[in-house]
Amino acid sequence: MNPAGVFVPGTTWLHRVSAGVKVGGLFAAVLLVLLIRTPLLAGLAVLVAGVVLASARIPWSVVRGGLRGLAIVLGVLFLVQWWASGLDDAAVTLGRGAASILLAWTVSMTTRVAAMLRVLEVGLRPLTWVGASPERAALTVALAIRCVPMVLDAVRQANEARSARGARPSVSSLAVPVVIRSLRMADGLGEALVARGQPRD
Amino acid sequence: MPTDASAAVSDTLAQDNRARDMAQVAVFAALIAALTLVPGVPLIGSSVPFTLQTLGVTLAGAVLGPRKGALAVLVYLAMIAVGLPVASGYKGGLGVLTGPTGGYLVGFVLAAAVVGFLSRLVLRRAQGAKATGGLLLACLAGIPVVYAVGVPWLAAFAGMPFGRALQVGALVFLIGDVIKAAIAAVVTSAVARALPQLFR
Repeated sequence: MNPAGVFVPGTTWLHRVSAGVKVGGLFAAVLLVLLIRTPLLAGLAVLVAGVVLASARIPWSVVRGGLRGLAIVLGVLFLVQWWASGLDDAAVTLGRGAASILLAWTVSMTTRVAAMLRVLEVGLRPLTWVGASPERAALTVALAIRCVPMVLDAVRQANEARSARGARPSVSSLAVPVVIRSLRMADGLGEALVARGQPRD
Repeated sequence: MPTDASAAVSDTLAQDNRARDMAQVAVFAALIAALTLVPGVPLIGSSVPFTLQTLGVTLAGAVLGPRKGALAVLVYLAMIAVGLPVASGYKGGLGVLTGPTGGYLVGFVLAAAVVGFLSRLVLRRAQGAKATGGLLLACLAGIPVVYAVGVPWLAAFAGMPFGRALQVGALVFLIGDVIKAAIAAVVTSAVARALPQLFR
């Protein structure tokens, strides 16, 4: 797994604008895009989204793979809808989908995971109204990110133990050990948090 | 003041339990991500590979219970939202959640809660083979919950008729999801025998 996420380093205006502004702008843009009802405006939205993505100067080799996947999914949806409710509706759906996904990509590819975590913490502030803590929520997400390689390692260890025993891959030789190893890992992590007096209220 | 002291002690204990809950939620969110990244077994007689993502979601509910299970799925969704490539097909970012398949991801949260609630009911009442049977039913109950959010979302996003969305968005995955529910039930039953203190 790429630990940096889908972020691509750069120095364009999109990289420099604060993460909160980008996420807020994305929400506003998606709301506007959802109001589109004509193929012409939908095409214009895709064009604008494309220009915004291009202004982030993401290397073509990174964008290409994603564009291919997007083209396949949206192409299938387009054909199904063309068949079901006509060309105009299909074009509007295609344009709205492509524009909002391109914009969302642009935000994710120009914003570091750490910056997005801080936006998440701010976004979760309403949690305090129901007695939950946004800091605790953001810390849990950060812990989970750190745990992914550890769990992948637990999968590898369980698989090595299985082949050392000469057992064939099965639920009891692979899935059960992985889950038990994960739970033990959670015990250790929990104790480490307690020892550090986390989470602070 | 003894009452103050005991209040402080119980406060600290409550805080320690929160730390342990947080750790379990974080590790299971990571488990869902790891199972999504590990290449799934190709479906027999088909070229469509399926991921073990729903296995992770079902396990989170069945092993951790409704509250922590649903929280683990929420943390997993947050990991996708902040831009980690942990959704199926190594995708990540806000576009995954707002895309045509975002409904399934939202459905996962509810499914983990439903599976968790039902499997806690089962494990409180039954042991051994009876528990595995009950857990199978509990895990299967998550499938319609995921489809109930995912399929209308797909239909609305694509503007396709509901019946067609049901075909491309549910029937294709049904066999794989049933198999994964069965695996989750067997695993949970084995884990309940290995670590019974977890389920008290």
